Amino acid sequence: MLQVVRKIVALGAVVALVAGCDKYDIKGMFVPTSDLIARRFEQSMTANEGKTLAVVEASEDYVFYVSTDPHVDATNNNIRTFVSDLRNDADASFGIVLGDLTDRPGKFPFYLEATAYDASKHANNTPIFNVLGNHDIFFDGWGDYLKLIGPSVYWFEVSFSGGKDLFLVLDSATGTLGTKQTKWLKEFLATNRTKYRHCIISKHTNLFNTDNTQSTSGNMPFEESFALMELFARHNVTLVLQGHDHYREDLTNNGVRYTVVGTIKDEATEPEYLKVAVSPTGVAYEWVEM
Amino acid sequence: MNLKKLCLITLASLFALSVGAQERSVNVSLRGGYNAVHEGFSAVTLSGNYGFDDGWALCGGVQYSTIGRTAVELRPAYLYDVEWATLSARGLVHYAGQNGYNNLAAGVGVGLERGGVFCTLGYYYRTILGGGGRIDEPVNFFYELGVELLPNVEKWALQLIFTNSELCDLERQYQPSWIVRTGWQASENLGLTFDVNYKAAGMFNMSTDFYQLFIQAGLCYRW
Repeated sequence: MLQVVRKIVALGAVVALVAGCDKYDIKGMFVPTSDLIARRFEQSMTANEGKTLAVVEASEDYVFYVSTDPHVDATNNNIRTFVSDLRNDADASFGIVLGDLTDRPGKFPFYLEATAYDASKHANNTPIFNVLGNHDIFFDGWGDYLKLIGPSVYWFEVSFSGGKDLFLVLDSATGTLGTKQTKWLKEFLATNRTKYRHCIISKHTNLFNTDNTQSTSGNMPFEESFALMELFARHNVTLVLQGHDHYREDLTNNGVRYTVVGTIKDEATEPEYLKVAVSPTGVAYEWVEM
Repeated sequence: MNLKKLCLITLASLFALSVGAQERSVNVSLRGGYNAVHEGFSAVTLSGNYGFDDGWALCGGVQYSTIGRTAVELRPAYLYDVEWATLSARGLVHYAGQNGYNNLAAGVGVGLERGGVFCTLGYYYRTILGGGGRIDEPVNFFYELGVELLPNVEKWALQLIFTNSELCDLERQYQPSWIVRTGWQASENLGLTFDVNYKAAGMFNMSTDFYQLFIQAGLCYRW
């Protein structure tokens, strides 16, 4: 009897590993099922053609909105609310969604539908920038993401009279920046950081692990966290925005502010997004409950 | 005296006390490998094991890596033989410094060894000091699951290990390494070890990717 139970459990484990389900890519958690970071970085750089993705015109003081982890699935209510609030705020210059845009393969069109400009509902066509999350590449989702959403590594500028701010978007969807992206990031910051007033970095995966709410959530390797923290401090990065962990965290270390934004998925008990007011002296927050 | 020096001196003192008494082994190992962030790197580890007659054992090590990381670890254990296995209660005290950050961890766990299968499961708590602040991590798992693949463990060893807590490398619970460990006892006192160690990024709840691969060769002196 015991042997039969053992065989059933073993068979179930093998089936789960090989097949997974259509929400959690269990096989991908152990062996790669999507393009690795090296290839995603190369394809993103090709798509960027080595240029800034966008230049947003703003005043010296401006506001942008941040949300994360909408996990769009059967519904897309909260991301719609976020987009509506953003595009009906005349002071808002742009929005950022920090990854895990969808919860299942094939849902990018539903996400794009929720974030599309609708002249009947939105006062402004305020741009929205996206970050790649781990759920977005489950089941080999990277190809669809690149085609429908865009590159996973890029930068854009906010230009104002007398200066500009740098917004870097990084790909940490597989828990590491990888060799090529890390090398590029070091060179980019060393070459360009001093040209900008503020430098704000957006990435999906959290450097820290200060909360176990999601149990085996998964963040960066320990050594990589320290290396990036030292790099960000050395280049006077103003702010690092992160998602993934579905809880709010806000700490400052070595002069760099690290903020984890909580999830806005429709099933969340306390969905919230962040309004960031940028000024010459730094950033100020307003958390908005949904 | 800074914390790093204090830890190093404490560990050195423990080794000094045990040498010449009932020390079981001293090991020195060199590793070389490739890391996604630091690219090529190497490290040297000095470690020791001491088994007491009354069931207590002490294991510790100090490691320096060319990525600029220094780590010190101490692992006391109490082993208890029962009819069907060897059970153990285990402790862990860990320090590592890298990129201007010092992290300290302490944990407790239990171990079981039976018929060539060994496992350790425990909890640890870690705090990170540096950058003008302190970051506390919640209680984390540490684990080691291993199987001895060769029957003649006295002369040859071949082990497959899955762990987030190799000596001096204490990772977060979702960041395990896969280790193939081989050993050859060349004489009564001298042994050689050779490990292949692979660490993936993004395991458990993410998509996995390459993070690190290294090989490690060691020389072990037992008495």
